[in-house]
Amino acid sequence: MRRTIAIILARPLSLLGVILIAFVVLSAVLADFIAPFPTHRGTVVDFANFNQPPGWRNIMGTDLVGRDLFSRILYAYRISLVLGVVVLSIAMPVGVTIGLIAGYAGGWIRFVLMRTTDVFLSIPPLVLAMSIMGVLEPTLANGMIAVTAMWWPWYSRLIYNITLAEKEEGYVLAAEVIGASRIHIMFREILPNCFPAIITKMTLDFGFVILIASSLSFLGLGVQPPTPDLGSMVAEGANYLPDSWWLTIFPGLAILVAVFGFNLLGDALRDILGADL
Amino acid sequence: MSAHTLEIRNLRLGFKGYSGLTEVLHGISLSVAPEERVGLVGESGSGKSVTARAVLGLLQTLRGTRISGQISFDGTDLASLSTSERQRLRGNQISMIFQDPVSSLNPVYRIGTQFHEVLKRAGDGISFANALERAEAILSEVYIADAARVLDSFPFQLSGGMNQRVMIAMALVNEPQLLIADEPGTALDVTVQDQTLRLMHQLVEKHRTSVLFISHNLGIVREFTDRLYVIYKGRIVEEGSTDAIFANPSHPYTRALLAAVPRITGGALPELAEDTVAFGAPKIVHSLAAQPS
Repeated sequence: MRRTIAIILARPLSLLGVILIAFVVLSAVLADFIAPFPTHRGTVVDFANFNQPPGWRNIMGTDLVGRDLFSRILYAYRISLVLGVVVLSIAMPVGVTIGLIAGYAGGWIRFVLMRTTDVFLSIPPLVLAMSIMGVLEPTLANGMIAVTAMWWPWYSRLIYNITLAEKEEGYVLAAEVIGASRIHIMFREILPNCFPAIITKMTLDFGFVILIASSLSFLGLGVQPPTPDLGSMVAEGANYLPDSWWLTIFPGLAILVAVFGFNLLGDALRDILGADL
Repeated sequence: MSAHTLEIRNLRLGFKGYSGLTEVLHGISLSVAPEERVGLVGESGSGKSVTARAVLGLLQTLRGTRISGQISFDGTDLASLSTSERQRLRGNQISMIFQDPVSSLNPVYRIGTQFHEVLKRAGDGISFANALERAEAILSEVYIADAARVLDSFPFQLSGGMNQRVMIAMALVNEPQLLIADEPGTALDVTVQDQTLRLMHQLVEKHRTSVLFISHNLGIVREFTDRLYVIYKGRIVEEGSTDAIFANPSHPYTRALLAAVPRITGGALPELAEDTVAFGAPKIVHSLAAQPS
């Protein structure tokens, strides 16, 4: 563990990833203290300063009703991170459990579980999320449900493959011989050997979840105004390109920084932990 | 205690695949008396390891396995036991040592934790500290001096020989009545193999454990067993005391097997014809008088 951290900090690219993630997380957590205009995350109208380019008062400019873009981006990060945490903390355990059971049990159980997984995997992820959001009301909670529904199959596919390989290892047979239960073998013997892959995939996925959630709200199917969201901010600003460029560029860069950071760290973890994804 | 620790009667085993039923064992009968060390030798694919797995009940749960015959342990028919009773038997009364000690230990847990896991199988809720104490005691019996360091290590931090000794200690820590050794140490080099097998031998004598020793290495079998079964293509072809069989191999297959051992004095490997007709000749049992028990 200590060794892993030392390697991450020693490599320039992974160090950059850590810095970017730290930047994103700190902005989200400390938004109340950093944001120059905390009230601007809600319904505030300041027509005196509307559509201002970046300047001393508003370092990233203001939007069409005069709200400070920088403050809104900080609060949007908060929502993105909460969404990422919730989606992954549901999708990961569900997918991992299904993958473990399917891989270890085999037979008709595997057939049912993995074919169900395949059905979800066969629909393009964004289309699946969009159709779920189309049926449900577009709120943050429903957005989480939609993204979770498209995310768990990747985990069950990954863990299923690892389980298939691990269950042929000697220690699984040894555990069977000493009379360990199936539950014990799945969760205490095989699962710990999946951790490197799980940790790596979760890190990589965090960025992608933010990206997908932003895509949904870009299409108007995610978080609704006035709540700030990076995707909907980009969508709104896209109508005023290229004159009011700051409306799109800064939220877009914010998405980029978050996704890039998690990707760099995930890549580094993949190399260090030797996880094959 | 019954007369036999392990008794297998007319065990038949087949695997059902896409191409129909593949018969693997054609009615094997063998027995292991208390404190007896019995060898089961044969070439690759003769059905040695499958027999061991059938004894442990690992094959019965698989789909497509057709199994018949009786396996009884200490007088109890294993088929009559419930799953949980059979699970309690394994690891407690019957334990097993495998070919490759390194992969038989889970790489993500320290040796101490794995010892604790094994000791918990004995039923009484043993604490981690007590488990470490018991483990240290048995590790000193396999001549691991710095037991504390070993218990604090992960399997990949130890050498193959160390791991093998840990495996032996782990297999015997619950004082089982029967130890099944499936080609122990085949993955190790010969000097380490010799060392660890001697240790196993000592421990087994000390703890009065019965052993079913599965191997294709005749030298080792001669050294470590009292009685011997020779298996060929799923049939036992010769049975008798180890000394008698080595002194006077009667079955054509046993003779071929003994002749196939490479000599250290050179002369390359002997050329042997695969005489399946003669090898399939009826079973030969050496006279009971030759047996020590």
